[in-house]
Amino acid sequence: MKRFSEQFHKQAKGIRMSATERAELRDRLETYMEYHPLPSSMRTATTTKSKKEKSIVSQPFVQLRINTTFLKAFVPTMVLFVVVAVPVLAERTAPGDVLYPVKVRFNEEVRSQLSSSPYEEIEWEARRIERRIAEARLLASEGKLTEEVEAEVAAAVKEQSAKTKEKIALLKSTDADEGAIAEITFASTLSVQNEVLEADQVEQGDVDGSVLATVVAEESEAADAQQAGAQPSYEKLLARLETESTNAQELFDSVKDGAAKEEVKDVERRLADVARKVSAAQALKADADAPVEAVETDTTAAVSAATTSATTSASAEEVVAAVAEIAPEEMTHEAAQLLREALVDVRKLISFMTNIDVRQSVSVDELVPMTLTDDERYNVIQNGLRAAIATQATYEALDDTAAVSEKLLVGIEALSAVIDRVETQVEAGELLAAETQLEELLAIRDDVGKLLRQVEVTSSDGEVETPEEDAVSVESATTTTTNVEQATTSASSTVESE
Amino acid sequence: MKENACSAVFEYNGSDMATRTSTGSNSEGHEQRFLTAFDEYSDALFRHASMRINDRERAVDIVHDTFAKVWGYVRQGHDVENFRPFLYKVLNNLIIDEYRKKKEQSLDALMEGEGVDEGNFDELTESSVESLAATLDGKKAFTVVEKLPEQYKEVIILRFVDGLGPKEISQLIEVSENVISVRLHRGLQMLRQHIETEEATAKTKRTKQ
Repeated sequence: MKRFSEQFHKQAKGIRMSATERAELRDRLETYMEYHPLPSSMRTATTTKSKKEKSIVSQPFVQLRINTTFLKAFVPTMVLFVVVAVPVLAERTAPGDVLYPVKVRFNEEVRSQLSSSPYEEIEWEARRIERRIAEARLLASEGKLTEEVEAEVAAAVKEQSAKTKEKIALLKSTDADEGAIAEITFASTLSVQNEVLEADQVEQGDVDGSVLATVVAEESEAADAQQAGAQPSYEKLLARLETESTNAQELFDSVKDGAAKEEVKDVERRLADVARKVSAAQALKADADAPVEAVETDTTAAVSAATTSATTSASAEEVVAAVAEIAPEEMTHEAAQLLREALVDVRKLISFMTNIDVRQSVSVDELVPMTLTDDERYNVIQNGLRAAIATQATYEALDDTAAVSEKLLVGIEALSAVIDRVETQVEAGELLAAETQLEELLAIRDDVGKLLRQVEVTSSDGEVETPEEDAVSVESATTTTTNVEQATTSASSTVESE
Repeated sequence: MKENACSAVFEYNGSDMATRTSTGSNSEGHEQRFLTAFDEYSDALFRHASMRINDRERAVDIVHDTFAKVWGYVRQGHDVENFRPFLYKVLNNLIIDEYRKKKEQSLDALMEGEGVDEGNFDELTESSVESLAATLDGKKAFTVVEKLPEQYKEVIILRFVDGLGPKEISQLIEVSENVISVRLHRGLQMLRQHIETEEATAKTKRTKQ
């Protein structure tokens, strides 16, 4: 039977649907099933269980299926995005951008919180003002700075400034010296920004000044006045200056490769100036500290000398009086003032190097004027003297027949007197006094030079000009500078009195 | 004796075709299970239908109707545990309906026409069916099976094509196992006669040639 069964079955196996027939039949059946679907009760119970789980379970609740694998990958990505990407993107925003509040309220606040000391915090708060102004300038350059936005930025600057002042006051209550230094730093930051905005206004021909510029100018003025009263100690100033100088030097080293040669030279010179100021201050301070010991030793020596020899000419009192001509406190104060100047210069240099806006608007010379070395000062004085002596020589070389006005005679007399004074001061090494005299000297020289030229002109024309005309011409020619004006006035008054 | 296919679906409740009302405990969807059953049994059902009614296109339609009816049953909330016997049952009923349409006479009349006496089967056992089948050539038998009367063809196909046991066949067509054995035995005898007749005819033809 087995054989029959197998044979029979094998023959029957040959009867089958073709693939097409089978597929068509299945389609027909599926269509039939679609048109005759299971009742909803059955779908809920069994058939559409998986579909049901994705749909609403009951009216007030929605069941959400969350793929945990996806979640595991998605959550860290989102966290990374929020923590890293958003703040980074926000850093490039300006007022009006979507992420701008992130920059101001999150990035900057976090950075402020991360400051290691109150001084650094104040430094950062000041930097925030720089950032606000830079944003406004960026918008202005793109033509997007509307009045509203500018008013907003101005308000933000005011607010930030008030905040910084508060922090300075707080620091002052705990550490007066550090607070005073912070005040200087803050004032220098505002001063730089003020310079930049002023330069912008000059460039744009804006006479009245924008709201922002006015606010910054006011704040800068107030900060300046405030810092003028601050008296940080010499030691603290020196310590801060050392830190800032190191920062500035490092910054300079890092940017000098990419900067223009002239700029590099200028900054290098300013840094050298700062170093010189520091050395000068240190020398002054050393002097201020030294006399006490020197006086003591000198006094001891003098006293011992007096006791041993009756012929000693200088008494101990005289020595003390000579040495203590300048009080040590005053010298220390002067040294501190020098350091203070140096600190302001360094801060401005740092602003100049770190802030591209500042670099584009103002030159380093406008920001930190060059400080001349003693040699340079000496040379300047010598040049002035030479010019004055040359003028004197011109007068002496005049023909005896030349008509010389009394004014010229008085001028020449005054010139000779000042030349003598300046020469004496230069010989004595009193450069500062000589510089002050030099200004007067040059003013008189200019006036005398003009009078001399008139004499030459008259002699060639054969006419004598009236003294009234001289006075007018001198006055009109010397209205450019205050010093010269003063010199002329004094010269004129002398002429009139005679 | 026989009801139409549709009503038979609901009447039958044999042990191998146990159905129960859906309780929602089934994790696999009804649709999916149903389509799996189609993939598994559609060919066998087509073969069976095709051999029974000798009409390929009609066989396809009948297979479709079979599945459609079973789907209707599922839709009513019945959970079919084993599709195979259930599908055969519906298919068989549909084939009987088809015969009715074709011959316009009842199966009872058919049976009477054939002069079947299903009471005398005491001597018939499964072993006698086997011994009889062992004497037959399967290939030749397959060629003449369509000539058998319907009730013999039905059991022969169910037994030797679909591979159902006497018990399953008896549950399917709702007659006793003995009747199945008698039908199988007689069916095989008929096949042998047909084969012999065919062979004799062929021999006569060859001698004439």
